[in-house]
Amino acid sequence: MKRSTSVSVVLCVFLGVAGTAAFGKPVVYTLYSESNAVGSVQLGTTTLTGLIRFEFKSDTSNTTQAQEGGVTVWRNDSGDASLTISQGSHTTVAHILPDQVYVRYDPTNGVVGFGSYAAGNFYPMTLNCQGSRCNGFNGGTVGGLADINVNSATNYAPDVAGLATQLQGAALLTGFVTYCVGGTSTSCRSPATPIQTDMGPLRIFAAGNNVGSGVFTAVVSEKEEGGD
Amino acid sequence: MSIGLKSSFVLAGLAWTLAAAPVNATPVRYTGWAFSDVSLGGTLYKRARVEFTFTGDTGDLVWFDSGVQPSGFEGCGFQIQNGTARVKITAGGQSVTATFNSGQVGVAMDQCSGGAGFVSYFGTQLEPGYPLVFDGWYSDIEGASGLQTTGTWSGNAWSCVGFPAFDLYYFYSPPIGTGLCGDPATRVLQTDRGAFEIFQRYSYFGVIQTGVLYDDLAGSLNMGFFAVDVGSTGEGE
Repeated sequence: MKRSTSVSVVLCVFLGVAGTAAFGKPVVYTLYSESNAVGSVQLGTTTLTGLIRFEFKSDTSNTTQAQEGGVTVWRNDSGDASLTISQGSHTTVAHILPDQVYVRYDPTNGVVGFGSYAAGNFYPMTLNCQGSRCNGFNGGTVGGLADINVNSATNYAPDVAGLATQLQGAALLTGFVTYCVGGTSTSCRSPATPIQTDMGPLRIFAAGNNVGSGVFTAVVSEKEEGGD
Repeated sequence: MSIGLKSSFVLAGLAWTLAAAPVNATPVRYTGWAFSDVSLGGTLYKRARVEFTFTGDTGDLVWFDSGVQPSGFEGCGFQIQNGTARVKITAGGQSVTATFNSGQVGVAMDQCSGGAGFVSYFGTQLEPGYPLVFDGWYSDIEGASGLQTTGTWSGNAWSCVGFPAFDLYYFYSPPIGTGLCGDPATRVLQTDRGAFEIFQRYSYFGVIQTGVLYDDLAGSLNMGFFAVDVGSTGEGE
């Protein structure tokens, strides 16, 4: 009897550890924005307008923690990415070819979204702060959380702090759109290398002082993967 | 395209000047959506995708002008109340759609102060920031001007009873307004699936006066999208 209990305890401990380390759950990261927030969106030879939706299907077990630029970031580099642009009943879906983009959240600097190996952490599209300081005034909830991390939650409604995420669970973040190669809008330029999709090369062009907002979400399915 | 530093959606006039809009009659669908907490028929949906649609006709667009308000702002632009307003709530992989009672929810675009979205009517009273509107803070929402051009825009999302709530930071001392949004329970909207309320959860409070909204622009940290589809009669995706 005593041995049986011990075995059960050991088994439960093992399964518990395995559940967090190897048995991830399906997750879908989505970044919503719109074409008026950027210079233009060109897919192949077609310029597209409307609601922009970047999507990245992965598994929470692929989420990693990294130190980049002296701060902790969360990222997911393994998944299937796509781009959907829709205006009314017109919808275009392009599947992004593998090993080009990743999902990344930098809670210290208030940056979340889709980066690319060819053009950096801000391109093809991320949400972050405008202006010199990252806080709620300049950066939606992603800016607010950055402010809370450094200072306090005093100036925010109680639900804001509850939006903190590590890309391993459900997420809901807002911010201003950045789609710039190499950095923020002060160094915004158009990409030298397009992102390749099954609909042709994707280019998001910078122009003028376009401004716009976006929403980033993560939805985790309760179904585990990697089990029996 | 501009940074709406002074823009504050202030359809605040209770005594509007209204005039018929000289436009051609064309079917139109307006869509506005954001993620938020809502209640429908007694069920609370947290962090749900909340999508409002309004189908109507551009021939029913009406020009309004509130005149200069005590705050110093003026609201003017187009609004439409004659049509069908619906809300689709998606949460936890499930969706529910409800149709608002006729005349309760309309769409407006404030060209004088910047902002657009879904407004509500209670008798002769207007709620210009409820159930879901978008302001002009670092926003391209001005592109929706006229409500007769197809496109999609984004902005800070407000679901604020009593909007505009606050004008302390930039202009006024003592402040005008309470600095807080009112209780949605005082502005319940009726649908074919019961009572509807939407809550503003993600607010930024002032650094000048603790516990009240920063202002009528950056006071909301929520963001969302507003679309106009001229010629559309469908309900969209």
